[in-house]
Amino acid sequence: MTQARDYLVVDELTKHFGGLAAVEKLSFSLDRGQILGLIGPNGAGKTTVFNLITGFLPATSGRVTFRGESLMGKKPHQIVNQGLARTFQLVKPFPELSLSDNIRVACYGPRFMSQGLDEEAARHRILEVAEQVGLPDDLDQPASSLGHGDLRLLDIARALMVQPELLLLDEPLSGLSSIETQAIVGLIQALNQEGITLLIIEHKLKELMKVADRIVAIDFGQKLAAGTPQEVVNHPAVVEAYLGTKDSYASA
Amino acid sequence: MLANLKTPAQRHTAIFYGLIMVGFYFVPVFSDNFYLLSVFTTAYFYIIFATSWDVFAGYSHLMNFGHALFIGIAGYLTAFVDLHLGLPPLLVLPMCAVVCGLLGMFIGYLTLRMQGPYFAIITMAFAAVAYESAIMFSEYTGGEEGIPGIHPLTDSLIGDYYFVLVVMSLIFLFLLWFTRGRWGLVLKAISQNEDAVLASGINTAWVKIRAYSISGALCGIGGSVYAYSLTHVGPTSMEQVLSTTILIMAMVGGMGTITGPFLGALILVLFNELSRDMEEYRLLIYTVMVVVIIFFAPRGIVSWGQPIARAFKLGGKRGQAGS
Ligand SMILES: Nc1ncnc2c1ncn2[C@@H]1O[C@H](COP(=O)(O)OP(=O)(O)OP(=O)(O)O)[C@@H](O)[C@H]1O
Ligand SMILES: [Mg+2]
Repeated sequence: MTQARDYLVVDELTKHFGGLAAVEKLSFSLDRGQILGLIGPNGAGKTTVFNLITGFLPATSGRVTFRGESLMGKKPHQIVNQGLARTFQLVKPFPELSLSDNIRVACYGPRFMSQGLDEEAARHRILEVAEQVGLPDDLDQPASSLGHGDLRLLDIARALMVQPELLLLDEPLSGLSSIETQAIVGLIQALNQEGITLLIIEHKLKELMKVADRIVAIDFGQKLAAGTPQEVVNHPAVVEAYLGTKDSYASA
Repeated sequence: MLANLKTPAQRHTAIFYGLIMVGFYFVPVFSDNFYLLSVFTTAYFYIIFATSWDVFAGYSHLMNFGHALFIGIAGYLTAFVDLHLGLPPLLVLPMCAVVCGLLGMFIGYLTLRMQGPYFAIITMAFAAVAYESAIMFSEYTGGEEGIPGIHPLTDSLIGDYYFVLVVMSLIFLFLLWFTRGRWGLVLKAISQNEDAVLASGINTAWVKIRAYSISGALCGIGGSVYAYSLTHVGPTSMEQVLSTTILIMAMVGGMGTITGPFLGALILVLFNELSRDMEEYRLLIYTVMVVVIIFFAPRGIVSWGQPIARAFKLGGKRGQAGS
């Protein structure tokens, strides 16, 4: 097996959009089996970090390594096939496809196909994943008929279909009711128990602090603090960046 | 493929198109009228062009405005190898498929990052360049006149009819098989959200290039048979009008369905012929009809299938179930 430490390493990662430094010499690392939270105010560069790690954007400079292997210059689909899946901040369903077809698309990547699984096995796995994330029973309905909370579940289901080792979730709780939030928090814990390592961007700090082993806080693309949830949340730079008292964001 | 016909609607659809196809095979039994057979043959060509257009453009929503490029390239290639090398059609057809398939791959690669209008203009430009070249290099291409004297496919009208029909049937079946499986699903998914397909670990660029290549290869087969059937190829086989007609047929029928462009091509060719008596009003009526269909059925004629089926059959069944 691969080493547990430094499972994912982000090293001096930098992304400039013209004159804007969206991510600036950002370094952090993640151990296998951990849940790492990534926080920061709006526009801090969190989603950009995800896009850099997953190959959706080329980095200006710096490195990302996963299991000791560099991800730089790799295409998004190649990175997924190394076992690193993601969801999107704005849910990205295929609105006109049925729920099961939405998930089925992920069966047709090499990671799934190389296992020599047939349609029957795919169907089985689709039902399994749909049930695990808690999608509605009727998988024949089009994705366009789902509400926001279920679309988040669908996005996660699609990501799980590639059987990731490392899962990146971009604000999985945003726009959800408290019941839906609890369900996804439970799901995150269950996935982690199964051995999936997670990197989670989340504004709802209270929930994030429940699940995260460590948290990295960034602003203006730079690291403000890193450590245990308590350490980070009480860090003066973090408090200042959120322009409030500890109470106001811890209850956000 | 039959195993995929799970729902009654899918079975009805299969029966509907199956009957039309069988009907095509019986046309010569009822009439050997030259005009009638040539109208149907024309329809088969347009079915090949429109359905092969659909497998890339209809599914990916990248509007290919230059599909006739493949018809022309295959036509000229057919003329060259037929007249200079004397190869038989059964060798020439695969050759045209390979050449047009590679050409589709090449254009697909070049246009990979292009969106909407840029993609449309590039495809248009490729066909236009080929069209102009065919006129300019007249010592090889016969200029505006084109190249006459291609050997006919068979020695009879009925033989030709069946040749074209068999080729069309095979292409139609292949496309149904191809799009009803995983490729159709992935292509549809790409058109709705390419990022999510990438995030599923699928090389979307390669999927699109491959679909464009298949689109070109199948149209190339059609273009070759077209040239044989006319015993002539000329620059008009690559005209913008032809590319646009193909696109309209696919839109009218219903893009991204294969069966839609099949119906669209069939209906518009038949209408075009039936309305010959209307002389100067013909184009006007044709245009108005196209606009009306696109207005009332933005998803094409195929989208009427379900409501019509329900009105006829399922309405009765619902009554029974209630009694
Ligand atoms: N493709 C892009 N082109 C230009 N600028 C971009 C692009 N993507 C992001 N940015 C800019 O980079 C900065 C960081 O954006 P990013 O989306 O990473 O922030 P974020 O931390 O995810 O914010 P939020 O909490 O609102 O999601 C912002 O100023 C944004 O406008
Ligand atoms: Mg973001």
